[in-house]
Formats: sequence, C-alpha cells, structure tokens
Amino acid sequence: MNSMYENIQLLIVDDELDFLDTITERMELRGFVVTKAPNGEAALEAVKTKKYDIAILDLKMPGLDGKKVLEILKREHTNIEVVILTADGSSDVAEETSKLGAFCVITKPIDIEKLISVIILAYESRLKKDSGFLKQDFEIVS
Amino acid sequence: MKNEQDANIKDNINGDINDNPILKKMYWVMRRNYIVRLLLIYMFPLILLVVYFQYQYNGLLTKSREHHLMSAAEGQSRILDIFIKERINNIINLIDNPSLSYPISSQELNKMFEKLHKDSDAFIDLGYLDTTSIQKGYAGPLQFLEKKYYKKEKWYDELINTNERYVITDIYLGLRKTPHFTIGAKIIINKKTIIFKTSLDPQKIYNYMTSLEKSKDIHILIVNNSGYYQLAPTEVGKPMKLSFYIPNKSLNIGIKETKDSRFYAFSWLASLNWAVIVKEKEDTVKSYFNLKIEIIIASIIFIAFLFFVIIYRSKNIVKVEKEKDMVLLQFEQASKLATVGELAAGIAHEIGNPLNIIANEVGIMQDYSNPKFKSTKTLQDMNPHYKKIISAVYRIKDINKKLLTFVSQKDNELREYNLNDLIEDLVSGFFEREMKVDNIEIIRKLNHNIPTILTDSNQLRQVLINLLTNAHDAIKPSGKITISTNANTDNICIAVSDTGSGISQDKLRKIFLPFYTTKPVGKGTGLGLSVSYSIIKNLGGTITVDSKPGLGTTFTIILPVKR
Repeated sequence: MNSMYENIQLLIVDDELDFLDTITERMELRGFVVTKAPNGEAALEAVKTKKYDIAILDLKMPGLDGKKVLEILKREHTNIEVVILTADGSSDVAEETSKLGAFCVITKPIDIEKLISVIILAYESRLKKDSGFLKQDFEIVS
Repeated sequence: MKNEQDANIKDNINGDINDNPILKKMYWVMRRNYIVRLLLIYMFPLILLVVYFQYQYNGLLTKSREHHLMSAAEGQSRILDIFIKERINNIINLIDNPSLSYPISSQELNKMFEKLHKDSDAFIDLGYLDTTSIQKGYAGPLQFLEKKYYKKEKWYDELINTNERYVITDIYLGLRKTPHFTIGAKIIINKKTIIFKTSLDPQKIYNYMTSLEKSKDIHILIVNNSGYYQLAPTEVGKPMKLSFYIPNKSLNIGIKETKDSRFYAFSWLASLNWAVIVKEKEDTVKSYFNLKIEIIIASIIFIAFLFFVIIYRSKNIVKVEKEKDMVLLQFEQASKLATVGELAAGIAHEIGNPLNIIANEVGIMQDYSNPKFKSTKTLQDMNPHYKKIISAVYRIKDINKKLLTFVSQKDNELREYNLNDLIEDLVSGFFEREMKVDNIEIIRKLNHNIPTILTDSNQLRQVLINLLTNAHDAIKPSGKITISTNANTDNICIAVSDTGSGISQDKLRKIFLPFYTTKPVGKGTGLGLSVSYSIIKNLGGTITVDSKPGLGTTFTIILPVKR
C-alpha cells in the first residue's frame, strides 16, 4: 500500500504554517512524497522544477490566492489535479472552482482518511488523462 | 416564531427607551427645551402684548372717564349758571319798573310775585324792605316773615355796600328750615333805596340737572366757596355740611383722582362762587373695575390655555421623537444583524482555520500512537503539537470575544473613548487577517494626539465595520485601505479610504438611502450606510463621501469633541 503512495507527487499549498507542517508530516507518515508551499507564488515556483500529480490548494491566501493559482496551474500544467481545501464550504466556492477545473472541494477541518481517498480518486483521474503518454506510470499502478 | 422574536426585540427597545436614565434625562431636557422655546416664541410676546394692551386700555378708559366727568361738570355748571342768570334777570326786570312807587301795596306786591312765579316756579316768595332793614311787604306762603328785621343778615350788608344791583346768598336753612337761597336786589325810587328779596328753591333745578340722561351714572354736588355742600344727593352728603373735597379755586374746571381710583371733576360757576362737583356713582366705579378684572381674567385664561397647549404639545413632540428613536433603534438593530451576516463569511474562515489546525494536530498525535506507523516519538515530542492546539483554541476564543463585544446589547452607553484604540482593536481583531488573505493592505495613519471623545463605542464600531466591509468589497483583486485619524480643537476626523472601484456620480447620490445596495442579492442589505449616517448624525457629527470611479472612495466622519 505504501509503495503505491510513494509514486504520487503531492504539492500542499497553505498559508497556515502550523497546518502545513503537520499535514505534511502526516502524509509523509503514510508514504506520500510531499512538497510544501506556504503561498501561491511558492507553489507556482515549485511546479516549474518538478512534475506534480496532485496539488492540495488553500483558497484564501495573501498574495496570489487559491483561485488565481488554480487558474494558472490548470492553464500551464493541464494534467495536474487540484483538490481545493477551504474553511469556507459554501456552494459558491465549489461551483466557481469546479468551473476553473478543480477536482473537488474539501472543507476544513479535514479528515485525513477522506483526504487520502480523494487523493487516490484524483490520482486515478490523472492517470487516465496520462494513459496515452505515460505507459510507465500505468504499469506501476496495475 | 419570527414575529415573536420581533416583538421581543421591540419590547426590549421599548424597555430601553423608558427605563434608561440617560435617555429619560435626555427626553426630559428635550421637552424642557421645547417648552422654553415655545414659551419664548409664543408666550413672551403675547404677555408683552397683553400687558401693553392692558396699559393702553386702562389709559384710554381713564381718559374717557375723565373726559366724561369733566364735560358733565362743565355742562351742569352751565345749566346752573344759566338758571341763576335767568332768575337774576327775572327779578331785575321785575323791579326796574318805572311805575313802581313807594310804598308798595300788598296788592301790587302779590301781583309782582305772581309774575315772578310765572317766570319760574323756583321763586318761593317776594318781599321788600327799606334801609331800616325791616321787611315792609311780603308775598308768599310764609306770612309770619312780614315785619321781620333783616339787619343781621349778611347779604343785607353786602347789598347795601356793593355797587352791584344784586347779591345771591349761599344756600341756608333760614327761618323756614328748608334749604333755599336768596336773591337780594336794590332799586332807588324817589332817592330811597328799596331792597327786594326773593327766596328760591334750588331743589327744582337740581332735580332737573340730576334727571338728565347724561347724569345717570354720576352724582352731582354743588359746593360753595368754602366747600360746604349747597346741594347734594342724600347718599353723599347733606347741605351745609363740609364737602369731602374742596375744588381748586385757581382753575375754572378740573379733575382729581383719589388714591382708590375714584375721579371727581369740578367746574366753577360764572355767576357766583359755587362749584359743581361731579363724581362717579359707586355702581359705575364698580362696573369699570369689573370690566378691568374681566379683561385681566380673560387674558389669564387665554395665557393659561396657551400654556397648557404648549405643555401638551411638548409632550406630543417628545412622544413623536421617542417613536422616531424607537424606529431608528429597531432599524439599527436590524442593520447590526445584517452587518453580522456580512461578516459571517470572514468569521467562518477565521474559525475554520484554527479548527482545522486542532483537528490535524490531534490527528498527528493519533498517528504517533498508531502502531501501524511505527513511530518513535516520545511524549516530549508532543509538546509542539499541544502548543499549536492551544494557540488555535485561543485564536477562536479571541474571535468569539470580539464578536460578542460587537453584538453586545448594552446600547447607548456613552463613555470616554480613544478612537485610535477603538480602530486598532477593530482592525487587528476583525479585519487584518481577512484583508491580508484577500491581498488588501490596511494602512493606519493614526494621529496619537487626538483627544478622547464621549461617544457610543458600539455604534461607532458598527459604522467602522460597515465602512471597512464596503471598502473590502470594493477592492478587486488587491489594494489598500487607509484609516486615518486627526483632530483640531473642536472636531475629530476619521477617514476611511480605499483604492477600490469607486462609486459613480449617480450612485453616490443614493448611497445613504436605506435599502440601496449594489452588492449581489443576499450579500448586501442596503442598511449599512444609511444606519451609519443616522448613527453619526445622532452622535452630533457628519459623514461625507468622496469618490473617483476607478481610483477609490473616501468616507470622512467628523465628530465633535464636546457634546
């Protein structure tokens, strides 16, 4: 099980550093390879140097906010799946972000098991998109 | 359920208005000011007018009374003058008879008396005497007067010694014991002085004088030179008694007012040293007095009526003010709830994040104790996680506390506040974090020398929240909000500027109207600015707006330092 997670490249973007550190540690405990980004700019910087499968993205952030980052990610890295993590769980947010191409919205406070199952679903979706180009990835999953 | 709630709020507000001692005092002062103002506007000029009217009216009345009395006195004295002159003429004409010879036979004397009596029935008798002063002949009702010796009579001496043809006596009782006066006239026949004397009854002419229409409301008194009544109505005095009043001899005609507001007019006769005194009857004086009293009472009733109208009116005005304030309070309460609603999204974010941290920290500690993860962490390693949990809990507690101060029911509490502290609390408590994540920089340009101000912090906080919320909503995607404070000797100025989208001229005119909003449905109530406007107005200040579309908007609040 852990071996499967090791292949999922995870980017977590949140300005709440306490949360960012702890969630990263917890995901790493579960075998994920995690990159932390404390703001939107750092996230965009990170995707330039490494290929990520899934970004977990906070919406309300100083500087570039979640929506802006989502927009850029989806535009420049079409295959990345973005899971939105927000304290504001109104239907407006879900509607807006899904239009921008977010995979789904998870409301804070999060349940880690739920987050992981969403990540797996997102990763499957990501693999489907990639199936034509990245045979290697497919083999690993199967 | 909702109606019940509304009713509760209304009751609450009602209670507030009627029980709050500050408000009670405020309404009392308001009412007192209304009363004083209305009294000054209506009562003061009215009372002046009434006093002036009374004064003028009394003056006119006095003048008319004086005039009436003087003309009556003059008229009566003329009548008496004419009467006496006619009687003198009668007697002179009678005795200037060339065919008269001395001694006069009693037959002739009777004839003469008859003629005299025909001229006027005031003539009582006719007699004559010679220089021996013994009455030689007499015609009239009192035959015993014949042969009477007149040497001692004053008029006799006077007549003998005067160059005049006649003398007139004062009224006296004489031998016949009824008031009468005598005209003595002399004629020289055959070098012998013969004196005719005739007695006259004044009662007839007096009756005539008093029976005239214009004498109805007056007493007519006739006094002689030394102030003894000659003729007088019985209720005032008796003939030959000293008068209550001796007219001034240097004036022909005059008027006098006594201390008890009674008037006497006098007029001296031309034909002899008698004066007619005219005096108002007591009834007349009383009726004048009553008239004055009636006018005073009417004025007092009128003024009292107006006074009660003013008292009643002030009560009504205050009642209307109270109702207005009550509606305003309800309005404020509603808008306060609306403001809370607008803040809710921000608050959800502020509470959601620390909750998320707590859940996550607890989660990682569970992970450590989960054998599946084969953790080597000791209890010591848990400390940072506990700290994070506690700090998150305190973040929530802080927000909670600030939220409670905002919705606190303690309204209308006026206290001394430093506005800088108020702004600092509000900005760091509610807005700074939310603004930061929305890329809005809050700049504080607070003048630290501003004086404290007596104000209602809850209301002012509500205004600032409305302005900051609006500024926040106007800024997309990023910008600045500047809050500045300043003061001069009289006023404190708070300005909230944003670098947002600005407000166009046509919208600018409507922004303080209730229920006017440009925010999406469900987001804005249109109450914020209208309530802010009325709050600032109630605090004695002003709120103005200046906006340039595309560049931003500035709201400026000016509050007086002393209220």
